[in-house]
Amino acid sequence: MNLDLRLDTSGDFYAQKFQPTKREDTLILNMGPQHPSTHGVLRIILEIDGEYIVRAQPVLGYIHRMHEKMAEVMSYPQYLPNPARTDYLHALAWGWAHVGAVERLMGLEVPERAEFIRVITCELNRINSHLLWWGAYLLDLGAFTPIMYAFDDREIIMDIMQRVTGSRLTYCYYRFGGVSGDIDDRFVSETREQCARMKERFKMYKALVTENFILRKRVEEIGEISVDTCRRYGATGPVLRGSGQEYDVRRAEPYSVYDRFDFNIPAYNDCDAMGRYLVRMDEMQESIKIIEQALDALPEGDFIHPKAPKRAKPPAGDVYFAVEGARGKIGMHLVSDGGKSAYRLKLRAPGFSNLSLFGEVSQGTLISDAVSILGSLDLVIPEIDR
Amino acid sequence: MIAKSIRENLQGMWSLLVGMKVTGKNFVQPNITVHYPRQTVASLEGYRGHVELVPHDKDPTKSKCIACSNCVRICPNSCITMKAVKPKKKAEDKEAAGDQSEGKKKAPAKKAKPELQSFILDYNYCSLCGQCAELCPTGALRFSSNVYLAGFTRQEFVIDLLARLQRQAQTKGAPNG
Amino acid sequence: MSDQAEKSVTAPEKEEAAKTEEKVPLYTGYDLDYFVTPKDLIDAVRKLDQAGFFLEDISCLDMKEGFQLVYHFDRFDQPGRVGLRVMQDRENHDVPSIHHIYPGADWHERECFDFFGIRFKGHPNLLPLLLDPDHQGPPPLIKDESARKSLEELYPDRVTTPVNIEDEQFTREITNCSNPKYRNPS
Repeated sequence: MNLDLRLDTSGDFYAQKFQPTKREDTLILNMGPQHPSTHGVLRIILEIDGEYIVRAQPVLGYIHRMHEKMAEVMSYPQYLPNPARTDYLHALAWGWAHVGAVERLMGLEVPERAEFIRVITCELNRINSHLLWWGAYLLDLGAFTPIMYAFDDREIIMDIMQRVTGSRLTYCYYRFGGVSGDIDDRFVSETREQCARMKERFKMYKALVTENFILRKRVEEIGEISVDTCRRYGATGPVLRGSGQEYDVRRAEPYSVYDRFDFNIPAYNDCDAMGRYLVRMDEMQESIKIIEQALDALPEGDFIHPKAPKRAKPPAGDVYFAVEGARGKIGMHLVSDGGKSAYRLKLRAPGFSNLSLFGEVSQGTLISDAVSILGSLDLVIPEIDR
Repeated sequence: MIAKSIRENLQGMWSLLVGMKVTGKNFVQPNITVHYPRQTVASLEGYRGHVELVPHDKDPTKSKCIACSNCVRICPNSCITMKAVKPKKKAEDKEAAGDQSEGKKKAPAKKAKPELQSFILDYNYCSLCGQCAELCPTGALRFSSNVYLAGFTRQEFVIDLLARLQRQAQTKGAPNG
Repeated sequence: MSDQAEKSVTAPEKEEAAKTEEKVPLYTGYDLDYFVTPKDLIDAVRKLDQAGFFLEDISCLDMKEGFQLVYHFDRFDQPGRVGLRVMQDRENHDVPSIHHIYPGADWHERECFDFFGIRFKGHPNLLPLLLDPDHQGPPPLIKDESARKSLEELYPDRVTTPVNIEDEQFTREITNCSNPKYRNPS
């Protein structure tokens, strides 16, 4: 962290362009881009009055890779591994958004079994994402142990996923018209075992962390975000649901076979960091419910459409496809001119919109609370920077 | 007011005790992490190392590859380069036809299988998506399973898979070469 | 890339194309899709704001006619996606910023400025967001002259005349907009 005097012009581009308020008793402080609590390379320029934040401005782009340009250069199948690299924690949801957009434009049907496999693996991935968030968030707040428990569970899920997808983190598993490989009985039985195990673990997590006095003091009544703020900034996912609005793309715009499963959309009216925390904890349990239902109803059949084109070439036109990722609504706006690669592919990163409200929400909070708010937004910087 | 804060604090203390109980319980559980160099994990099934060539059923020094270069084209990061020559007789034909426009003319005349000379994988850029192996018409590519691949320079990860296959055929019984 | 690749695609390709032609128009993800003029944009967005929509993102395309900005809106309590398309001249940028209605648009507009160089009128802080401030050369998503496609090529059979937003019908349509697949859980 480097402290700047108000009239110092030696800072970089963004420090110079930063517009502080008219006050004279404030300091400007750079938080990041290597601050551990920003989970990567997010930088926030803060104007502070003592420990209180007067104005905060995130600076993005430190790991920008121009995924949207890559989509215009690479052919459709060549782009398949890319979405996983945007959000490495919920890679499958991003992959789904991409294949879903292409399938929607081509009118390609996905066999039922493949849809179920997608649901199961995507939900497993969601649990993994939330578990890492849980561990890392508590690490931000000063609790070291929980991340160890989280990784214990993550490891088992990653082992299960590795057998079918071949990867542990940046999955490239979905293909146009299906998935790249079938699941077997061992996958099914191991997943069932893990679901049963997770249910016990959630009780432990609750006793160890959720009811913990110190945690509650750090998250309750901190970072209150109203539904209207979410709406004006376009925040979705657990951030929105933590404000009491039951909005989930799996319900609002059902894709795949999600409309067949019985699951709740957890929402908490507290609007604070605790609300967002509880939403994610509940969501993991809902995911387990979905996985169990999907495993029970898993149909036989192809895992990929037999006529699925190896080299997709959708007709001219444009579509929008949205899926629910661990951080919110992932959207892909695909415009095709009938060629081998996309004419334009716009990625909507949920974290991008979620972070944009930070400037407003953090006003007047303590720096240590701002860290708590940042963590509760569940930021994955590669996804925001794309 | 005071009663409320006392109650809150007592509840807080209790929550800490409950947490300590969980920690204590886990403390006496057996270790779940693995001391890596002394122990290794068992669950490596499905692990994707870099791609490797599948040996021919009859001749383990030859690959199943027919040099169609589908994998070269599909690779998102262009990390495969292959060199193949046609058997001598056809090579002459090619030279003869070389003057005329290539491409389509050549295709129907091609009957002898081109022979793979080298199959170079630049593993530095591979994103392990597996599309090359999926697209291969003869199933000549598969993932290797060497988890402990490590090196000091980038050059070590530019691998000639055909040479590797031949090396493996000579020192049999060591699939993770 | 090469002839061979082309050839192997054509057969299943054609079938696929034939199939899609027979079917009823596929669901594109848009429940409502309008072209609006840059002048009307603010009023249209204000109407959407009043109808309770949130801004999903602002997408942009480079095409023969200039730039096309696509504003995506959706709603929490009655989901349904509305797309607003604004055509923008290549040189004279007169599209207004909507950050005072949707503060979240601030970053989306800065992103469009980064990738396409579009200058939104009235934006308070139009600085590079994702790109390096020292970035040299043209914005990265600008296409070559030869690679640009026209509206007709990209959106065959679509009406591209701007809608009259003063019309009662526009207000009625956006108020009633909903996703056909959405079922209220209660």
